[in-house]
Amino acid sequence: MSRERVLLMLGLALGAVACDDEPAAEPTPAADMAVAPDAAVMAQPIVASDKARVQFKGPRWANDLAVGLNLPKRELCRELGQADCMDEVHHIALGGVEAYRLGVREALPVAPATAAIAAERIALSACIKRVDQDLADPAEAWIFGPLADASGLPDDAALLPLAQALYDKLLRRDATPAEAQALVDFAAEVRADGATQAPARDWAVLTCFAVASSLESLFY
Amino acid sequence: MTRKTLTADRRQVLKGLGAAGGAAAAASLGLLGQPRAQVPEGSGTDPRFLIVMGCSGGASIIDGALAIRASECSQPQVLNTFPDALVSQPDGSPLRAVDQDFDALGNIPAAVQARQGWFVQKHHAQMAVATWERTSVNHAIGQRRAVTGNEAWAGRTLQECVALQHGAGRPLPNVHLMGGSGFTERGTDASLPAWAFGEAVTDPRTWPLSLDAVKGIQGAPGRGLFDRARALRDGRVDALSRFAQVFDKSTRLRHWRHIRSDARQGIEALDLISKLMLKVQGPDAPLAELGLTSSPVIGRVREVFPNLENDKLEAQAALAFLLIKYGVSVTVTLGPGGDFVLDPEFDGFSLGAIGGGGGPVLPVGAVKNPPIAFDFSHNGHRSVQAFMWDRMYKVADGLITLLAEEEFGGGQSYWDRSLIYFASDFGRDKHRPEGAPEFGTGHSVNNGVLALSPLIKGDTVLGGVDPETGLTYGCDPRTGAPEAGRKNSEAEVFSGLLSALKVDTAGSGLPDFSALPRG
Repeated sequence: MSRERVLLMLGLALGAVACDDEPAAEPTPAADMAVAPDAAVMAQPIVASDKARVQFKGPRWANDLAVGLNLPKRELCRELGQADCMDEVHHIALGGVEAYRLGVREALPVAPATAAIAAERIALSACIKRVDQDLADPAEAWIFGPLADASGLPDDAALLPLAQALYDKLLRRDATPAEAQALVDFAAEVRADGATQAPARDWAVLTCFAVASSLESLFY
Repeated sequence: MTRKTLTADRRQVLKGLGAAGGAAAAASLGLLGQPRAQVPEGSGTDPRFLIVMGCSGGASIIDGALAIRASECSQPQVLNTFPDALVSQPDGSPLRAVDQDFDALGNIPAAVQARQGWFVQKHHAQMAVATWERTSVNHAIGQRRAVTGNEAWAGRTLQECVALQHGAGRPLPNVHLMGGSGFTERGTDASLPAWAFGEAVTDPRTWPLSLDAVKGIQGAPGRGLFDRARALRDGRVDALSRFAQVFDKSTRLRHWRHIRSDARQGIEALDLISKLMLKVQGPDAPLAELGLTSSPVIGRVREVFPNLENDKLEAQAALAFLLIKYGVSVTVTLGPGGDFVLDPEFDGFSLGAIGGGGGPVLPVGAVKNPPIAFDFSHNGHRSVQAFMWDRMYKVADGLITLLAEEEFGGGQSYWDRSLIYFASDFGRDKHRPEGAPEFGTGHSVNNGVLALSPLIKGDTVLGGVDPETGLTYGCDPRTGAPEAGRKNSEAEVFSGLLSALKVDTAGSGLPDFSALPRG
């Protein structure tokens, strides 16, 4: 009986939430949905979870990527310039199912060896797309507009807000100072690379790639 | 027993079950610490290659190599027998073939010209049939048991056994080119190393694109910088992430770290995206513009498998050959899918009435695959079995041709070290309505399995078929002498195949089936 009572109360509570008469808030851009870390929480030592129940986002990762980079999902990545990477070419490797043509009715129990490479291809393609659009049209840029006029890589102070924006957009939270600095520090490696013809673009693409293909981006 | 005691016991049982289930699940993921299975000494140094051809739906052996002539049966009109003139047999061989023509494939108005004679004539010296009695007529279960011998060796699949024995050090020892079947299910022996389990390939024509993270992506930064960005991600972005630290013990995260580092390096270093590329330059594949190239041997591969763009089974076979040739895999699994495949040339073709009501009929070759493959025998047994055996034989012949042309070393070809196993869910019913030239059949546990290899005793039938019933019987598992009252088991055939492939089965408890391997 007590179990039924609990379920009843839970249902009422959910109903109350659903029937809230307050007007719905205006939808907020993804950038503004980032959650600032609670200083008190951040100060606490990190304790590794013993259960560590983590799930792979699978095809939903592409949705997050599309929102985070403000790109239509179908434009994130197209293999050979044609086939959709997530919905066609790498769909099964990245946890999808396709019962009708492929007979794959359940997601693979373990990510195949090629899954990480597939995810990297999607992240890299999507970041190239975002960066190139931002540099071509800085007035409408989503993240990297300030790099459009840069002849080379700007100084660290100019890169820092871009690094923070990447965390805001892709992981929906603020970067810690150390995390943002890590992306800024990568500029030194780009500058030192003699092969690059477009250091600002390459820094933008590759820092975006590093965050977009991180564990925190791929799992929940 | 008091109620309290009962509750406590129940809780304990549930707790135990939960723990066991969790452990089993984790174990099935291959994620529980270090694998316990011993990798055989010298694994990978003297390889044999296993090609599993999954005959989904049930390949009936009495519609192929063990066909029954009408003259051999006292009531041929009610048994699945063939007019004598249709059945051929190489001189001195017990293996048979049936050549047939149809004007419909089941109830699909499509002409069929099915030929087995040329294949058996060409390969009989390396063909063997082992009869067997299966243990299920459920597709998924039958398929699984066809590759595990009904869980004969701790639930390991044939492919996993071969990968463990011969695949150490290869990037992807066990590749599954067909999906969604029991032939490609993961085995249940979690003690195997992760690399022994099958790698899924859903489309052989585009899968090579998942073998390099940078090649073929327009506008990608240079490889050197890209690798430093990976190091940034692995060494700093993830290292600093509170999420990654809190869930550091997650088996999934650990597995992902492994496949994005060690496993990935082994794949990219071999430039497999180029070596395995089946696409050729064209409007739908601007390879040159993207810095990609076709496989160096694509010309020959496309000569042998000219329909690989439209027929996925041919594409699977093409990639299977390349995986073996380039040292990527020691076992590959391929097979027809369950979807109806029509040559694009005939898209929109105005079909005659279903069920033979007249009107246009699709010409020979227009249909590449009937729906549900061999299982379309429910609708039309004789034409579908004929069509599908013809299809499987052609693909097997192509694979043999390519493997025989490649030198392995020491004067041997790759084919000299390979075995093709026609794995089937089960057999089909042996009877037909009186005198019916076409009829539907259900599933039967009685059947036989065809293997093709220089590693087995060719021109061999291990057992036989009773022409009065259509039922197969077994043999002495050591000598191969027919024994009318005996049934070969799934475990015996499983064991015989592994022995032929030089898999060390010591301690496995598998039954002896030394009648199958050569020498």
